[in-house]
Amino acid sequence: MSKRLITFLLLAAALVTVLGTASLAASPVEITYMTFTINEIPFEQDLINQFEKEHPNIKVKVVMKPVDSFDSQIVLASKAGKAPDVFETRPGYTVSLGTMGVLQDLTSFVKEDPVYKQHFSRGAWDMGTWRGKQYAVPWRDGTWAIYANPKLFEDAGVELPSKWTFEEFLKAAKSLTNQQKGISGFAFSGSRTDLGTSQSWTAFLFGMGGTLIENGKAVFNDKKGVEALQLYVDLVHKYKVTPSNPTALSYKDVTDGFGNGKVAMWANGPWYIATLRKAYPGIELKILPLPAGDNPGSATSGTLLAMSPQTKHPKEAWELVKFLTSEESLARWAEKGLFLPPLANPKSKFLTEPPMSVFVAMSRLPNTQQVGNLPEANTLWDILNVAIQKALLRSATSQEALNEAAEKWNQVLEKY
Amino acid sequence: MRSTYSRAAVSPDLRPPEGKDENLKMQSTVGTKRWTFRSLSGRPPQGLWFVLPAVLFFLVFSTYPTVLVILQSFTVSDFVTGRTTFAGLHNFASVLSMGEFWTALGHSLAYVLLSVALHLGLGVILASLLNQRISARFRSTARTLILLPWAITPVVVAGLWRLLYHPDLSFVPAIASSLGIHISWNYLGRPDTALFAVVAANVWAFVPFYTFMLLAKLQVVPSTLYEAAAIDGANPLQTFFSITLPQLKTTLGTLAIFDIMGTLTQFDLTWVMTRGGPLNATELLSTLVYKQAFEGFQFGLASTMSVAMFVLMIVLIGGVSFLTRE
Repeated sequence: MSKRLITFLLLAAALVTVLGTASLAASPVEITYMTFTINEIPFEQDLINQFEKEHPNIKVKVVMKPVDSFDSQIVLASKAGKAPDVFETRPGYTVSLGTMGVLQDLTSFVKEDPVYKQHFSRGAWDMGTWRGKQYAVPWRDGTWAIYANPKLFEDAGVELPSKWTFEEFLKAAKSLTNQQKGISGFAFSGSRTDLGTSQSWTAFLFGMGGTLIENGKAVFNDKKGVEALQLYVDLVHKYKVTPSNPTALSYKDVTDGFGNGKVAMWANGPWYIATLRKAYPGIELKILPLPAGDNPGSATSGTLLAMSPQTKHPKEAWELVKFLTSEESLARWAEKGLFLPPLANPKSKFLTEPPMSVFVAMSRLPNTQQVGNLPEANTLWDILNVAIQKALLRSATSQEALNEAAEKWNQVLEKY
Repeated sequence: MRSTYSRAAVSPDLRPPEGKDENLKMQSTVGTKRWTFRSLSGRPPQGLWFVLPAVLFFLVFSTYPTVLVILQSFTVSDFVTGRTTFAGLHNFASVLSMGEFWTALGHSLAYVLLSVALHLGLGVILASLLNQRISARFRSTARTLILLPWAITPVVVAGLWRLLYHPDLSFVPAIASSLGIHISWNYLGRPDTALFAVVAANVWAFVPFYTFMLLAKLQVVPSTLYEAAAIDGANPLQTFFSITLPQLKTTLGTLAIFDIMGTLTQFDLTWVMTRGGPLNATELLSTLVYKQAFEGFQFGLASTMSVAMFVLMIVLIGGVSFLTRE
């Protein structure tokens, strides 16, 4: 073989290698991102678009799933070996999913980048932590407060308070209730399968100075807990200021009632503002603080971002997580006025103005606590939902219902 | 009913002998000409290709999942490792010791028996009424009106009935209130009435189907039977119990089996209306299986409950077959 031919072949091989590598480098890696909020909040898509622009080698396929079945979808997809690379998760389920092996332990990713976690508030960061493992990182934060219909307040001659006690709250609920017009002063979900049933009650429990767990044991059956559940029961049966069938109501029913002007007040976090505004364009709403007892507080919740251990592109998936939860992205969320950013030092002016200023104030109350960080969350929330239903249906007293629930909680918690 | 096939078009092998009942002979002759793979040396008859898609569909979408569920009922899966281990009868022991399972079983039994009895009972009554000598236009209008609920998808039916039962949004308490009558209208919110409230929605939605099936059968009952009964001086009740019901017996048996299968596995109506609540008042086996599998992620237990549901179905169908045997 002549030298010239060998040289030609070598050059051709080099050219093919270079072109092949270049074409491989040019084809972007596709990662799947599963969310339950993007339809209601187009800004989320703006962030994804910006990420793709800044990372031309990564393409993000967005999959939207409804919030009701979101956690089941994640589990089923994982069981089928087809989990999305990155997905949203809620604090109430994060530890459950993490201990099931559905979430990637992000501890090593975070350790490699010590600067990354510095901008988060400690409370928010702990939403995704369980026994030294970081199962998810905080994305959007929020504290429970009261949603109020200002027109119904005006019609009933009730002033919108900037702070109030439980007695004042009750008085307002009574004045706002108009049975002839089918208007309830306050409404809450009592459906067994709605996570909001126990979480809304938990916000009232914290507001009354109670707590769920102390030293690894359920303590919500103490005096404060019984008072909080009895308040729910009395709102329905004694004062009749709620719809008469709370055990059949989901949060969707409650928000529909609010949207249709049939419910004057209900409790939830800031994430519902966008949902309501999308479902009821032009809706008027005001955010009021939860009524306060001796040791006031509220429940904090929100959403986190997690990765699947099944991802074939962990580096790119982590890039997306880092981008979406960067200080800059979180600050931009805050500018949209839809969530509390899980930042240590949030600086947005929106956080100093209503409605977000109310949620911020609630987050700084002494007894404000996380509702998440629970293993077997589905089981635990279901036990609490059953206790709430039993008390509401008066098949048990508040004390009996909570005693039974606490005993069952402890049986679960003892395993961990 | 006599066969209408053309004698000339039938192949000599299939032609029945002279002087015998043609239908009976057709069946017996076809029965002796059964095709086997060996007898035709790799040339399956054309008919096989026609049924093959249906057979494949059945194998893939019915037999395979059924076998999988039965196998899964004997296993325990570790979600973290993905490892599935044989657990023998462990799941069955767990399920049988669960109070929730027995509650759901009781509710399912009550739900199925009540629904089937009402579907068929009301179906017979409505079909008999529609089978009377009435004007064709009236019959046609009545048929359309009766058929309407069945044309609505169960999820929408559930939504409509939830609204109907709503104590604040339903038109019923509003009308009663305008008449000065205050009624307690919270049937889905009370554990003692919720199951019956769901049964009512189920009956409303599915009675039309059974009415139509029974009407189709009634319309082919020879009128001579009714004429003979009239000549014998039978009153309408005697006619109903001596002619109409016996004529419907086989159809009722078939429809009962069909109804048991459909109602026992029904999920959407109850789920949308009550999600098994309040407390466990409307928890059926179908909703419990869903919760175990997709909320508790206990797929082994959910499969075991499905197997139990299958056994219950077989027992109920066996009972119906025994009662309606010829």
